[in-house]
Amino acid sequence: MKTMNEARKYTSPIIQEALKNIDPTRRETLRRRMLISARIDDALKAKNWTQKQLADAMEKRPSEVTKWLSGNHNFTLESIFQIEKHLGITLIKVAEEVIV
Amino acid sequence: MYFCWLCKMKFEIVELLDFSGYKARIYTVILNHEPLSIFDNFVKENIPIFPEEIDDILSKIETIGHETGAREHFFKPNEGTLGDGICALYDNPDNKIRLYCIKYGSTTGGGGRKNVRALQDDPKLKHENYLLRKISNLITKAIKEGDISWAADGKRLIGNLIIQDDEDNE
Repeated sequence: MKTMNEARKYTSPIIQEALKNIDPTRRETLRRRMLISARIDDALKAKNWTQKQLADAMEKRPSEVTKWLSGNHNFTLESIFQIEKHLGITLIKVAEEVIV
Repeated sequence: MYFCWLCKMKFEIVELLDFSGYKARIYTVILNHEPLSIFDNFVKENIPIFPEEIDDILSKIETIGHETGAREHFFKPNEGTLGDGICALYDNPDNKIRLYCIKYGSTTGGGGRKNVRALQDDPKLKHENYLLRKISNLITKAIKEGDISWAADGKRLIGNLIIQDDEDNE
């Protein structure tokens, strides 16, 4: 009879302390970069496109697309707009409400 | 901490509570009843020297676990030998450290400073990479033999998660 245990849940003071001390702005920046990457990835899958096809369509090197999808990339508004245009998606929506 | 390649090895696969989430389960291993996991050792060794890079790595793993899942494009593939699943979390080219992973679902591993021309030129990075290769081989063997499998949701490892290297390497 094979054992069918789940993994023991583990944390440590080292990890908890490190998580507590992460700069919130840095954490949120990384998070947003990754969410944008994931949305580009979803759009590629929906269109059945490879990264290379996107690179070709945008006249970029494939390594540029790899960089966008790495979750580290600091996108410019220009590149966001170009990606949106080629994939037919919205990555960033600017709020339209009046600021008082 | 250094590891003897020819020695027999025992380790426990544990789930990292702070990072695992609905989107991906994140695991690490504890070697030979040591007090800390290999992921703890990675954080402990590097946080005094590269605090911002560790912040980024931890933030990324949190997001992977809870929001995006362990998507292929977040990982640099083929960092081990053919088919062993060893990859590295993508980092910026000017970063000084690298986290190696085994991506079944996603098992985080150790890493080290990345001041390298090639892996073979950096003993610390080479050590961590080869450690993960050995762990990967043993996990793959356990999966093949049915000692470890995936739960019905396809995300959780179940089985005998304490793995003993029973091969005679001497």
